[in-house]
Amino acid sequence: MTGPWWAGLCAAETGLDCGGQPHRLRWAAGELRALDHADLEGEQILSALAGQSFPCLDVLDLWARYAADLRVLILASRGPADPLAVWTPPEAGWTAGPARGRARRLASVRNTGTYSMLNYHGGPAGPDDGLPRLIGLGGLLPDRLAATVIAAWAGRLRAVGAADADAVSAARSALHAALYGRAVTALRSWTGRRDLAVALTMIPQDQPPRLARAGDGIAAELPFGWLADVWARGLTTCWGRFCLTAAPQPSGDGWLLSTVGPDLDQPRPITLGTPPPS
Amino acid sequence: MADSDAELHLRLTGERLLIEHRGDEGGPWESPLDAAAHALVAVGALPATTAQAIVNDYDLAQSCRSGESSGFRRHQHRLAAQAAAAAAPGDLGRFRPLSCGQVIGQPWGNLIVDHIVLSEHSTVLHVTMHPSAAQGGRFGRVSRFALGPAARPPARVGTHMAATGIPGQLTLTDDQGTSVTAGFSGGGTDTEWAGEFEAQPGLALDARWIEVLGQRIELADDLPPGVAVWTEPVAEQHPGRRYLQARLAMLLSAHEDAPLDTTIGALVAAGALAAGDPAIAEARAVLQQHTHGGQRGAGAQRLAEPWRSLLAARGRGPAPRGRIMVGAATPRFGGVSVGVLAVRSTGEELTADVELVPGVPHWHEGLSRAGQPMLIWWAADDVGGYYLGQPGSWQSSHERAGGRIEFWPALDAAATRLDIMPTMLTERAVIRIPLNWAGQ
Repeated sequence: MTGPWWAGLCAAETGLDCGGQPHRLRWAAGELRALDHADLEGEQILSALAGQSFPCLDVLDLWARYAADLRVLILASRGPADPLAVWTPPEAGWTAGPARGRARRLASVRNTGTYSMLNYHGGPAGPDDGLPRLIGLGGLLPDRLAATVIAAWAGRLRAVGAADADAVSAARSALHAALYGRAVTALRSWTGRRDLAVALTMIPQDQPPRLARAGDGIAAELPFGWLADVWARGLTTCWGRFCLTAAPQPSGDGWLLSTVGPDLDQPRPITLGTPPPS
Repeated sequence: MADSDAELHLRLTGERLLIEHRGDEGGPWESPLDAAAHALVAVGALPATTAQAIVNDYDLAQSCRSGESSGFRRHQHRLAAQAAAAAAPGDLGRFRPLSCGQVIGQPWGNLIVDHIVLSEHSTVLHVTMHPSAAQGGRFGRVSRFALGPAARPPARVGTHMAATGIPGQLTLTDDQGTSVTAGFSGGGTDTEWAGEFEAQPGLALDARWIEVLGQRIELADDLPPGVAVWTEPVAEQHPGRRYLQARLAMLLSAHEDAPLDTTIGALVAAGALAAGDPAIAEARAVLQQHTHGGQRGAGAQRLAEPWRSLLAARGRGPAPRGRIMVGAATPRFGGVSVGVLAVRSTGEELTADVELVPGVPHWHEGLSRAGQPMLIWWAADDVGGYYLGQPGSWQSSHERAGGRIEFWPALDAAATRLDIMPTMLTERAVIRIPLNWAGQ
């Protein structure tokens, strides 16, 4: 597809207790921002010097850390039929106050342009512990994080070069599993059959996706990019039909979907208008 | 098979568990994801670190859905276990099992010291207690928490209640002037309690006598002649079949009805077993025979050994009665060392008191770590009978473990020799014990 990867994804916001103040985190147009920190860079430097921890800033740090981490796709939801609980790992949580335990860390972040310096400290005891907290933020933010990771890897798969080939090859199992869990969940929701048997083949992006009968189940051939183009936008079903591809109209006015009906007939197009801005 | 195929199989197993909301429903004691990971690592299809990382992440994913921390805690527990397992294993150390049988009369009843084990790190009195006639021939019951901390050693089975009047702890003294306090763990009925008084550290390893409740117990070494110990490779050389057999033995010894399908699926996906390998059909037949039984011997006769004699002999009896002190230790095999302290046969069961290093978890924990060693307790007699054991009462830390292995079926009365065979995946030890019950 053409256009930015976040096209069609509405903004998402969640609240957070930051140093005793109710703060907001907002995702829009592919970026997460801490709305109540006017001078983000200054506050980060100040917090590093003063040994203060600000949960908003910690979330921004974690977001940057996990923005291309395929572990996100293991923890995150497989779709509306797979809701997440609001859960905080034991003996931890977002707190504001003096840093404890690990030494403070300062790092440069270039990929969002939202901020240039960040700090991370306190709370999690190991390098992995931040992810469940990020997934447990609630609202649509975990879905937007999953969409971010999916977009990063879909982009790598489309533009894989020799330098990236080994990394992409090593990630293929994780990519396949991420596609499997989401495609199976979507197909079962679509058919209303919780026990639907699905045989999934992850095909290259340049091959046409298809669904076919396989005994009492369905054989699905989908590229990983289906997650970015269709699943992440909530377009898996439209008018009772399963969506195989979704792309913006060349005119930029609306979306063109390729869909199949319950009888798995030939794909038929559906045109959608442009979603309202958010 | 490429690593990536095994990795994909494991990840898809995790996906299916999540989207089908099965969680830990694969068995009361083990997740199918754990079973698949263990199989893939055991046949060399996937590095243990890779498999464990995937399992840990799906545990976390489970917590993200349930809102409960059980998956997260399992994740943390595994990280700790991984770190501990990486530490160098220690030695079994010297130990000295001694038969006893001395009866010590007390106002509450009789304390019978069945046998004593002195080792470098502990002293253990294996005891039986009966109530006095003055108590009406019956013990009352109290919470074990009323016995005090010393009477509540961790990780023992059947320690929830103790009997009124019996001591929760004993003071032990030896001829070298060492005095220690031993805490009780065990279980029993209104008319009999059995268990162990254990002190860590213990008395002098070369003590000539000890004193308990004011009575002196002479310690005379009486180990039987003819005990032999060696190690050898496991007979089955095919990695897939070897793992399947070990896994089957583990399920049988635990008397669990968990299906083998997860293990078989992983082995086939890894290319370690062909889908039509006869070992798969045989394993299913063994499990079927074990689970659904049928008339004694029927069906089992069609199976190969050791399964045939194992399953055909269920319910056999009567068995000889007695206890034989063994006191034998194996060299290290498959990463562990085992000491067999004593063997006991009752009418219903055959047991062995053992120690081993490093620690091996109780079977209740299942295959809780992808690279976890799998120790199967086989035994065989000299009249063609096989036996499978599992830890009963069991103490375990990362460094060492010990307790009672309970074998089934009961010992064949015609047996004159017993080989206890702790078996790792590729190697096993054999502790050959002449069965001379005279004087026991």
